[in-house]
Amino acid sequence: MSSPALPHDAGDAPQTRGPTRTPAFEKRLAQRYRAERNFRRIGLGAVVFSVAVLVFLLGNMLMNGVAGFQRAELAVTIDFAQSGVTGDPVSLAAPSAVQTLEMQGLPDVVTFFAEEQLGKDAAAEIAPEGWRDVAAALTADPDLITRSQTFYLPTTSALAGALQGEGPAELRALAQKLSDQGKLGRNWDWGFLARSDATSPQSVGIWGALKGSMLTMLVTLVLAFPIGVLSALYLEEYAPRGRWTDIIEVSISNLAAVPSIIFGLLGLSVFLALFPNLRSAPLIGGMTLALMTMPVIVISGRNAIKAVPPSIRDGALAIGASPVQVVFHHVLPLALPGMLTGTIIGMARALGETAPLLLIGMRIFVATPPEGFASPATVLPMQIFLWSDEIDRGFVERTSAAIIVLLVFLLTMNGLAIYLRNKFEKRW
Amino acid sequence: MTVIHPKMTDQSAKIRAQDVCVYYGDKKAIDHVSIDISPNYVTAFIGPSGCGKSTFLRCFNRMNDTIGAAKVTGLIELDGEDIHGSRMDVVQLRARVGMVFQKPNPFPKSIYENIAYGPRIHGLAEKKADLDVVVERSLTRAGLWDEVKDRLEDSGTALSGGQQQRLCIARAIAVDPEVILMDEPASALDPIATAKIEELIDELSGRYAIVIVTHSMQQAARVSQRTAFFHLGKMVEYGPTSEIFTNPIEERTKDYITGRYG
Amino acid sequence: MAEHTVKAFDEDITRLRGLIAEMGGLAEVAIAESLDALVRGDEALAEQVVLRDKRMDALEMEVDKLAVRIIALRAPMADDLREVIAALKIAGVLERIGDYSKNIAKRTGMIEGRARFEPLTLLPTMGELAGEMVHDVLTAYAARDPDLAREVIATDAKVDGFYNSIFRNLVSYMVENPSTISSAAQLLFVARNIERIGDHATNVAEMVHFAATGVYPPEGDR
Repeated sequence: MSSPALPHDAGDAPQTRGPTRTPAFEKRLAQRYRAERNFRRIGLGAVVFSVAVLVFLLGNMLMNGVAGFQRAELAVTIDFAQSGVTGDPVSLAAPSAVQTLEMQGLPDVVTFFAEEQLGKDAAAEIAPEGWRDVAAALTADPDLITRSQTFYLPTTSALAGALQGEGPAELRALAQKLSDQGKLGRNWDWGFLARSDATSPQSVGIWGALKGSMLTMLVTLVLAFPIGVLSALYLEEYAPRGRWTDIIEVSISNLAAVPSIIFGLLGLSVFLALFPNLRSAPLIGGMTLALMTMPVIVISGRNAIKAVPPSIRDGALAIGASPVQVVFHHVLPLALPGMLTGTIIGMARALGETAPLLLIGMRIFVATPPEGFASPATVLPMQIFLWSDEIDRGFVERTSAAIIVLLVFLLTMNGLAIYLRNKFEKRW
Repeated sequence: MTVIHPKMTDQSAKIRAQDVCVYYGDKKAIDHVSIDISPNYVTAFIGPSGCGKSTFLRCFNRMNDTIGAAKVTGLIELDGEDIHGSRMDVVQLRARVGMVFQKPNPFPKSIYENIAYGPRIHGLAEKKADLDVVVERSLTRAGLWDEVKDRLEDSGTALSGGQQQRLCIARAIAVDPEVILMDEPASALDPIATAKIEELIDELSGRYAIVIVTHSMQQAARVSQRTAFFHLGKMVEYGPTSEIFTNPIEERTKDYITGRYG
Repeated sequence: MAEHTVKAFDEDITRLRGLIAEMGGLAEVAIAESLDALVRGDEALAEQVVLRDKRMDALEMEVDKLAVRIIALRAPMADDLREVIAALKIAGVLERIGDYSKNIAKRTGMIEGRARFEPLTLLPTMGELAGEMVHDVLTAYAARDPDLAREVIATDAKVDGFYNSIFRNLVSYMVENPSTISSAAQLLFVARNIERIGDHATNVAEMVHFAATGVYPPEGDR
């Protein structure tokens, strides 16, 4: 034997071992346990910190946002029988009914009753568009023209601010007085979800931006998902291994890291050049965001496809399936959960993007919800940005409310995708 | 220098290979192998690890095509037709030459779907009634029908290892092949499941030409009637199983089967 | 020949061969001693031969057990398998050879007036020849030598020749000396036993040839 004798092979008889728990051993053991405990604690601390930050942010949002779902309203009772406004069910059902009512002087009627019940100063603080709520109620229920009803009309933002203790002293006094009389209060404002952008925070709504986001997301999904999935399939299954494929792979990975505003530049120079009259349309916005989302889908798609075990492919090939059949009958169903996850991530990012849409002009003031993919629209994050820029104090709460709507939309979208993913995973 | 036993030459070959070489890049994995596979017998390929037997087996249904770096030269004929010829559709070839793999790989679908998939894509049966017949027949021939007939909608991956392998065999049978290639079909199974697979091979051997790669010499001795011994990419000896295992001609064969190799 | 990868297999085969060699040695000694006892009338020696045959029987059982164990545990193939099967059969044959020697020894007491038996002097020579056959065939077994085995088969003809001449000799002696018929008859049996030993040695030689080459020796050799 040329090797030095180890403690074990000196002689053939089994060595009797010394005691295991020597002092040195005990010290090492204690050190080890301590290190483990510390590591666990640090990890737990990190998790707790993250959760705390999340809770703080969300809590903050919720607290501010709840106020955004309310608005200051003045109570005015209008007796239509005595108002001098006439109408019958037929004319009230017509599309031009609101204009007809306006021509009949409905706004003045409202002002008249308001002055009578609240005083001239208070009546002047009813929002200029407040009469439209009355008109809407009339067209919805033509029978109302024979009765009287109490309406809660939005105030100007000045009075709303005064109600919360801001603004000139006399306005605040007025607000206090009206509030004590029970004529002025902050009420739950469901109309926020049905209206669109406006100049006064009392009259704004989020529906315009919400619909704009939905349309844009739809365009993004319809463009990015098929192109992304098919690209991923091609790159993984068919592309020959070689220099060109490598270059394409690297390019796509880099695309995913490009700052989003660059895509806006691209949208501006290419898409708007092609469709100059579709500025700020969901179609253009969707196309721009699709460019941004597609690399994410391709990357996650490729990983999902790579994760399909080769034994499945072999099994399918061996039974005589053509390459296309192998891909669509076997690989794609198994890779779909992973692809959907990547799509969720990509779409969530696209939902929250503002920069690229800035450049293609979706930062406009849109007072009515978009009618289709080609109408001017704005999206939720853009709306939040625009409102946060406003001077009027009332917009602060509305912005928080809009953020809550955005978060709920995001959660719904994710929830839907997760549901789809689980459904596919179970089936296969 | 390949030794072929005298009683081997007078048979009509189902698969004939002539001077087949397989290269992985620059490395030669199979070196000028020629062999006639009989339609009536089970043929076993034996040899130490890395000798190329699995690689050679995969030539018969052109599965080496799926490996980019692999190149196959030489002639391989199925019933006299060159399988690399322009008239041979590789998809059709793989329906005629089925394969069962070492690790059972049922599709993550129901048992019924696993079996029905092949006939459906090849147009052998389309209506549900026809597919039912094919499924029952294949599962019966694979010895699995009684065990699964009440749960055809269960997932194929929920079966035990041995059952999964029989499911894969049933799947291969469902497309009515002429040859079944088996690449170490029982190596991942326990002795009882292995015995069932071997019994199944026995029953199938009358109907299909079977070529089995195995690293267990005892298994080769039990199931096959013809055995070919491979070593370092060459075929060293090919003869009747009883001769190979009682009185092999080549020294290398003898060393391998008596456990003197390495 | 290379060794088995599993060394214990080699040890088993070596042990098997050792047992066969021991049996063979005992058989040779038994042949020589039984004839010696017969010729000299040494009843004590004859008794020893009979007793020592028990060892042969025990060895045969050991060979049986070992061979079965090797087949079960080692799954021998090709020449290993043939060797084990041959060892099994050879042990049986050697045991029978031992029985014949025992038989010869038992007849020691039945011969009277031996100095006068001329045929008695032929028997040792025949016995030596048979003993040589056994010795050679065991050498052939140990060496896996098919050629030596065939030589042994050829030698059997000589033993048969010896038997025929002794037979004629004894018969004419019995005709001339009817009083010695009972003793002479015993010698007939002894000669028959030796001839049978030769035949058995031939059987062993055939098995040795099969174990070594996988085929039996051609018919013409017999």
